[in-house]
Amino acid sequence: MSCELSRREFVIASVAAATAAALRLPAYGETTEPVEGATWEKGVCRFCGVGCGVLIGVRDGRLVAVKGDPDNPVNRGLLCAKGYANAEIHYGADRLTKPLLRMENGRWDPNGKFRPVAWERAFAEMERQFKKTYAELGPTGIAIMGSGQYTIPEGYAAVKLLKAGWRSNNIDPNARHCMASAVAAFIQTFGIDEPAGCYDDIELADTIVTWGANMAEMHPILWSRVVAHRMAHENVRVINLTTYTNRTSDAADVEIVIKPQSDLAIWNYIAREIIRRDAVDRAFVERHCVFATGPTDIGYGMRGDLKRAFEDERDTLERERRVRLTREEAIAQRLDPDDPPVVEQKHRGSAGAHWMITFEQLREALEPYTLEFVAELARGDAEESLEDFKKKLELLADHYADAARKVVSFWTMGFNQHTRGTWVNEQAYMVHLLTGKYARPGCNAFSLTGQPSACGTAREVGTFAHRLPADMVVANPKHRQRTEAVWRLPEKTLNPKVGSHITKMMRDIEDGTIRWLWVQVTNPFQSTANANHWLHAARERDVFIVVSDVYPTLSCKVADLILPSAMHWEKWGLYGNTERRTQAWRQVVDPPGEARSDVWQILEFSKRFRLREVWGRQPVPGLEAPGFESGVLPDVLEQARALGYDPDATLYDVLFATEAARAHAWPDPVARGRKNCTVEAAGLDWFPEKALFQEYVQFGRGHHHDLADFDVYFRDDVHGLRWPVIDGKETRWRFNGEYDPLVSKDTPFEFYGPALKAIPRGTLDGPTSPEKVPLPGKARSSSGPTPRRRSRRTGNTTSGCAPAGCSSTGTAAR
Amino acid sequence: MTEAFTCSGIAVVARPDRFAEVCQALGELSGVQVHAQDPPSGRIVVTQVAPTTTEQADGLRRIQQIPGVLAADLVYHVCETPAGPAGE
Repeated sequence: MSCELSRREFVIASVAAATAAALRLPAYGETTEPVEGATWEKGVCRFCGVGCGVLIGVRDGRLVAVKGDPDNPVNRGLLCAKGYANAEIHYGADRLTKPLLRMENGRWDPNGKFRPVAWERAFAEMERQFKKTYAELGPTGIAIMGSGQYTIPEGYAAVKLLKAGWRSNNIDPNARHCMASAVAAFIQTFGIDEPAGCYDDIELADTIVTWGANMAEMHPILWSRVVAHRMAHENVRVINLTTYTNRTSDAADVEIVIKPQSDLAIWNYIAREIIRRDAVDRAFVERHCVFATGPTDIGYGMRGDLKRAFEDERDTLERERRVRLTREEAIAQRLDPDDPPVVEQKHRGSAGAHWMITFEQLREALEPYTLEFVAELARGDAEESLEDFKKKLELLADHYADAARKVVSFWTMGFNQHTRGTWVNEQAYMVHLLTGKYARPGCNAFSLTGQPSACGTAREVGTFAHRLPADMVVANPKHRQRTEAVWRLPEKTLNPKVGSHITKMMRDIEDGTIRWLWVQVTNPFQSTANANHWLHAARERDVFIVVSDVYPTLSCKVADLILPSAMHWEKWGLYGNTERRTQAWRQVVDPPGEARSDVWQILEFSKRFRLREVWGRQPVPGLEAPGFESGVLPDVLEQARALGYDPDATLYDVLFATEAARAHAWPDPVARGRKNCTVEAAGLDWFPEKALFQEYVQFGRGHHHDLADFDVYFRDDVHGLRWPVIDGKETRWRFNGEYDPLVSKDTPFEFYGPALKAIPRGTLDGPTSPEKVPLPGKARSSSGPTPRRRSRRTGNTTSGCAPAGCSSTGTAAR
Repeated sequence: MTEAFTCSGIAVVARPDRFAEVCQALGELSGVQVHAQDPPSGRIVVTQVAPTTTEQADGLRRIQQIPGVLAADLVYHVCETPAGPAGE
């Protein structure tokens, strides 16, 4: 016992010393390693999108210690409460360690009990079910639900198997739920996904404003950086806009409690003030921005018809389809406030159909958003006097309008899961662009992510129903062509018809049009809205559901087959965080029992498909694309032969174990003796994770998404790199010529994102000509101005518009 | 049998005007010891001992809720038992 006590005292004293040393506090005690005999490996935390560097301690094949990586610039040695779980998450008593199949009398039975089976038996059933559905329904009958927690190689392997192998676009991540609005606003405004700036902006800002982001609790490490910056600089101010008092308010100089949804009106008030005070950065705006707006009658997210509605949902659905404006909405849209109209939501399917407006029209659009109007609408604390609340709004506008203050706006799900999430993201860009406070050190409008690789995998790799790697999309023939070239596919292998997004997949299961589903690295039957529908559908419809996971979840409960996966430190991986930083880790411990990496599962399953089973003529209902027969994907087997492929070759041979892939030999010096469970389970002499990554980087290089080579991310002196990585150097501020080598030489700023870079001209009432005007290098933003749901003004009752954005040039004002 | 034991090192940041008060409150929490203080930066080094990692995380939240604490973050976490690795 005394020995145990002294051991404890030793651990406590050495942890204290190590902690003080990590904080670079004056020397404190002796810095002895608290864990004797452990080896350490660097990596990244998996529990949110911040991307904190972690050092994990391993001894005797077991994770025994976790510390923040003091050399990682993201977290500088700190971790939050979630960081504790880095080791323990691997060791829960209910870890899944064997494939489990619902069986009765030795056979698969949808109503059977879960029984452990061998991997061979599991894959055989999975294959049988897949092929039955594929023969009946073709590529649209099968689907993968993916994740913002996919490692880059996992997401890339999944998307390649599904899009190139099975010729389906039914892959979509849980990240759709949280980030769709953020992505839409990035693409609409800048033509490219992901933020211009980075976390360095925190220490360079004069004002930091949180909008619907309780950073103190949700992104504590970034918050610690905000707090440290505030404490070290007398002039720095922190403003927390929130619907309730939370821990973020504790360190804020100003707390502004608002009514839910009133943030849209507040942004419009700020924009109006900026224009009224003549605080627009005209040089920036005129050179780099245009203003745009879009339809307001864009509806909401539920199904457009009542066929599957539960009785008590019918009224909600009706209200979504025909919206009676409030008095405030009528004022905002300059309609008669005493007789607000009912508006049929006619643009449900075309919310992004934007058009250009003039600065004068923007000013006109913002006119209703006076201090009085917005304060009445937005005040969230009934105890606070209207006059006090107005003072706060004016102060907020002062910070954005003051040309001498650098401002960072942070937001999370308060914006992104808003019923008008895309608009409110766009509005933030509008205000930052109007004042030239974007893509400059210390100036940023920043959507914080919740998952570790929602950015790096889901969005950048493109594990979405409409996407391909590096912001490309399946509907664009040039993008398909480029992808087919990198993947060495016959022309027209890729399916041009956008697949089902994750919510639609659930609906398709309910409708019986998806009958085979593989869930990877996510728990969608827990987390998808209206889960009561999907849980019923999963159990009652004719659908075979496979769930790969590490623990039994609600999704496992409704599955037919559960596959045990390797957890974080049991496999090799790379993640991309919210500030475009790609980070990597090595496998340090073995997965338990028969658990296997997701990469192994995808590769192994691909061996069960021969080209002739999937690359023949395939039905795709509703497919209409130039060069394609209606509703049909062509037989590409002849072309495949011409490329040197045998129709009896497997998808594994053609997509994964290619000559280029096998050139990445295992063992590899980058492993430094660490193991690879994928390699071991498959008995390989090559390195799948590295091969997949090295193939993937070909998409981004030369296309604004440049990544470094795989090995670089494992170097001791590299703690992630922020893309684009050009000539080995990361980029901290994109679009800014001083920092971003991709900006043309003759301009201080260039918003070079290529997507949606031509829109028609119009007025506040709608587009005036179908002709699209190209906008190379420009930023644009369109925002949904009004109080709750609709944006501004309408010339008639069926379409309105939202105010728009601009861009900036970098000079004079500061 | 040895008892399950985990230990973590935590960096606390306190409002400078409530520094002493925070240090005192920290010292009164079970399992928590204050080891170093740096009033100019508001930083305090504490260790926390708890039987399991789950209790560690709950304990960190308890520290974050002390009035005057602006931030409390994990720096170092040892999750072995004296007799060997913790776990099932």
